[in-house]
Amino acid sequence: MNRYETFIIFEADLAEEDRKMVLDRVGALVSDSGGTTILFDEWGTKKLAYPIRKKNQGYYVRMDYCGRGPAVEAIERILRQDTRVLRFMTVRMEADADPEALKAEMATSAQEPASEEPAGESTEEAAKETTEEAEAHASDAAAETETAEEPQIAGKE
Amino acid sequence: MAVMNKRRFFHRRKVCRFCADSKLRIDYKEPNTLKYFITERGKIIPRRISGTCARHQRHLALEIKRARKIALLPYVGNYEQ
Repeated sequence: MNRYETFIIFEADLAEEDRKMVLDRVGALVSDSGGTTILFDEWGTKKLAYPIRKKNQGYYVRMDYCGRGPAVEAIERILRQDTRVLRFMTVRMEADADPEALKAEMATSAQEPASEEPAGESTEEAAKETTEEAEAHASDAAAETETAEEPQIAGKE
Repeated sequence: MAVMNKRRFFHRRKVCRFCADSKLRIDYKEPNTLKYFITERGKIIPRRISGTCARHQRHLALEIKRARKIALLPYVGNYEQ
């Protein structure tokens, strides 16, 4: 059993019931083939980086599940046929995943949902910090090479 | 010798950002992190410019391409930006 992640981009002006219908059908496909759906993460309406089928906006849904290859094929077949789906993409996150362990993990992280957002902010801050650090390192390193090269030059001359 | 002096001026050691900070993840779901590694036109910045190590550059390129597929990043950027 592998862990997959499928992104589905619906038309932004699609009614919620229609979206639900597709998602329910896809979810049913996962469980029918012996897999487990972990979560449906709805990102909501977002601006697309480039127009798809002349649409500038799309409704993003991320689906996280455990299953086998044939289940993915079946899901993708349905999504391909559905004209209301602008784009989809499946990525294998993990080979030989254990759905039970993942569910337990999800349950513990769900108990503290507030911790998710500050974590995101801190990573952003961390990113900024690293660039500063990296620059500091770079200048240090440059200084080191300079001093190291000095005797060489003197020797050659 | 003049060439060498000149080279020293421009020499600046680049550090792979992902090696420096293990908390920084390369993930196609985080286009804001990936944005640092593409040009305004949407091209992937080569590692000779960005200083990313080979391993992380491979990973980065893959994730940028994934993000492009689901329209989180552009294939062709807007040069007016």
